[in-house]
Amino acid sequence: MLREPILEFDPNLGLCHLTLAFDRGSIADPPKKEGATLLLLRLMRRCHPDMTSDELEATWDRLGASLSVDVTRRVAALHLTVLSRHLAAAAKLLSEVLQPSNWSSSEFERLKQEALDDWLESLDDDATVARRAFSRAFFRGHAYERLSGGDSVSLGSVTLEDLRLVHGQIVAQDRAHLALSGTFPKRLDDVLSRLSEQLSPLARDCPLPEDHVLAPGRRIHFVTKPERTQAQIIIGCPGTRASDEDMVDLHIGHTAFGGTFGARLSEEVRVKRGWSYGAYSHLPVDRTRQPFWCDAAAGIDDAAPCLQLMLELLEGLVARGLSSAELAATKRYLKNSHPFSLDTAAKRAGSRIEQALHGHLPPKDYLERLEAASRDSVNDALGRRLSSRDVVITVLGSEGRLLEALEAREEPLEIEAFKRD
Amino acid sequence: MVNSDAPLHGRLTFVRSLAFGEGAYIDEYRMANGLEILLLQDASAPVIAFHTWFRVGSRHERPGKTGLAHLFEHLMFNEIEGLPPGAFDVKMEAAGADNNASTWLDFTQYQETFPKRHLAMVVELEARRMRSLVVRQPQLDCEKEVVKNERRLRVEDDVEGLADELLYKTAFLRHPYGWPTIGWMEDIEAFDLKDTERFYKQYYAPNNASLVVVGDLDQRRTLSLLSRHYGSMAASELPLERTEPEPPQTEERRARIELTTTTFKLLLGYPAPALGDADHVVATLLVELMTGGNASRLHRGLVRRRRVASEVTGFVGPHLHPGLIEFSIAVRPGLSEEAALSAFDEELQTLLNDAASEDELTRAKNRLELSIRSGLETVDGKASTIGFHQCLLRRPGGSLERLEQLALVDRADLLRVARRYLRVAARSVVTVVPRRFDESRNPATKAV
Repeated sequence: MLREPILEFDPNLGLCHLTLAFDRGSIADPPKKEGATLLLLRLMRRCHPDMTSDELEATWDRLGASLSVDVTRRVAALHLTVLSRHLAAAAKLLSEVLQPSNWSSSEFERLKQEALDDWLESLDDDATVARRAFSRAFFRGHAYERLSGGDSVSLGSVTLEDLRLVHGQIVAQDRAHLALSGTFPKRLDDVLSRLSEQLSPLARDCPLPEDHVLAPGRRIHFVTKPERTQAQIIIGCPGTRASDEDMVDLHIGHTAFGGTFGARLSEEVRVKRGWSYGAYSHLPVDRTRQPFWCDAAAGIDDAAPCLQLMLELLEGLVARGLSSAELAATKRYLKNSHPFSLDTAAKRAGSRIEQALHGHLPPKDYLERLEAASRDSVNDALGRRLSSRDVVITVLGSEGRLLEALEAREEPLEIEAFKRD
Repeated sequence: MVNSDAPLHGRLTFVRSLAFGEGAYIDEYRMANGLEILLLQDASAPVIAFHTWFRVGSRHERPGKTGLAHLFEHLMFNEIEGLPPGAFDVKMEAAGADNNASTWLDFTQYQETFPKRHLAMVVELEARRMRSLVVRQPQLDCEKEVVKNERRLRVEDDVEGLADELLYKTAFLRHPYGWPTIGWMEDIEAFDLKDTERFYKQYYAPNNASLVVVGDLDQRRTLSLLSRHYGSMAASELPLERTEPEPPQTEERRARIELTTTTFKLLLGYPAPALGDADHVVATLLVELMTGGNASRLHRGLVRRRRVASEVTGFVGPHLHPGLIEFSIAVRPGLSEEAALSAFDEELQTLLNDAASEDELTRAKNRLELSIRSGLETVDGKASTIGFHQCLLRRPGGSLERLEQLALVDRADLLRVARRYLRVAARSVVTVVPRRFDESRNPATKAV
């Protein structure tokens, strides 16, 4: 049986969100077949035992339903949003696509081609290209170096057999978490039993990797792309994981550093100097250790000094931490803004599913730890967890003055030419 | 009782109460200085969304001064008389507020969402920056650099941004919709303090603004706060708008641009009905039918069946004056733009020859209903839709009215609107050509 679903009711919406999430994602991709899990979920979305793909798409529309898929390394999820009056029919339809029936080769080939086309189009987005390059550089040699979306080579090599293998590792009751939010009937037995029946009880083994150990030292990874007026800059080091005792302390530190418009990074890079439209830091929390990183997009002529400034700010954060005033202001902000993470049924359901999948703290525990955090505990966490010495720096920009400036720096420099495939 | 303590310009008049969904009402008031106030009670969470919508956007600019409305939006976060620079954001963050702003063709809007106990602080700050903003040269210089970087991010290094800018420039030869809201780079660089001071005095007046407050609010207390803080401001004489209408387009226009990208792209713009025109709802439904989701006409025709495109999207501009019905086609690798355009025209012709089916109509209506309802999930979403429709049309219930209007659209309406607006002679077409560059000129990868 499916585990107890997460339910958050709102009588006034007229629509309902249903999330079916599995606690394995692209980590299940076979070797050299990156993107397989993404293709799996997209194929499931299109194939029905009794309808063609075109008929199925039209049926979703008739129900006023939108079904999207979302794959990260750790999670593969189907998100259904539907007009409440059609929930039962949409949930039945969803249950009917969960098993690999009617997976036609022709539909699969079409899907692969569309995925390849999408991947090509994504190369237009500099921020996306830079983030991918950073992720690959940061996780070099680790299982997470493989990207969830795949690339032009891996996507083309995925087979239907690969998808069946991945399906067996992911789509099962013991991996599944179900959440409903919005306006839905009191009795959900039919909805739940249909979904449960379509899932195998147990998934095949899909172990999670150990935490990544970053190679010591700083290095710069420069992706050259022609005709850029701006450079994307990302600087990252190892961050946190959900089970770290000091996770909330680190979260406070990150927020003060780059989590808001008024934080240090934005103040120095944007407000004082106008060097970037935005400058922020990020601290994702998951069951395995994720990177902490900060990013900005500076005009080509400002990119080298902007990079230097960001590194100095990171050094200062690690060495000296937060002031008392910063700590007080950040704690106040996090406490006062916390209601917004829970002010709708969808957000409450989302929070509970994050707890289940990623080990996030329940709100009560989070607020208690937030209250208890001191300047010492926060600064200890910053000094212990973050590093300004062992960092990966990714820059995407054009050759010329920027490349000369990067070559003049002491860090080892690796250059990758942007390719259009 | 509120009016008995009201300052000189702060007396409130009740205008009307409008139903907004089941059991909910928008209560509208007008202040003596012309400020419009719309309140919607929503006690589902102890939070409030506070929006200020000014009836000024890039449409109100003039050549040589494009981007001023947007730059001024940035400046509104800087310094308020009696407070140090940056105090607005510091106080908002201390309250746990989430705040933002946006500028477009017809409006500039500012928004905060915050725990309800901070309403008094937010009202005071918002009123003060409407009344007493301070702009100094160093802050102006800095924000100009920020906006230039924003332009680089959204336009100059962005294929879609550049193509869309060219589309509007091509389609609008006289009307101000032809220049980008972010402004041309040379105009951004040239702004001085006098430009910003003049703009502020002209447009940032209570009689040019609508306030929308949605959430767990005490109406009497809210009105009292608004009267107290906004009631000292007098109405201003607003400049007469002298916008030239765009003359009818009588032949197709084409433009090409070479960019660093992987495939050809096509952007097509047809003249659209204005937001307040009865045809706007029909056009929105038509475009949803044509491009909304994988079962839509153009996705099936161009992506699945003919395989000339990897993506097709459509959009009807929601503007006070007639804007554009836009279609964007990402051509598949190895194919020419002409093949994709011919395929698009053939698909469109079948729609012009014969009405869409009832099934297509039902599906598109359901999709739009889902979209409208999704936009009303949060207090912020409600405030946005109320503010938008009030600002442009003075119809705060506009989004729910659209739901009712959608239900009445039939196949004949779709055919009529398609034939009226989707004419080749009236369209503009931008082609993005993948620029060839010699990959071998890039340096070889160096080992770490």
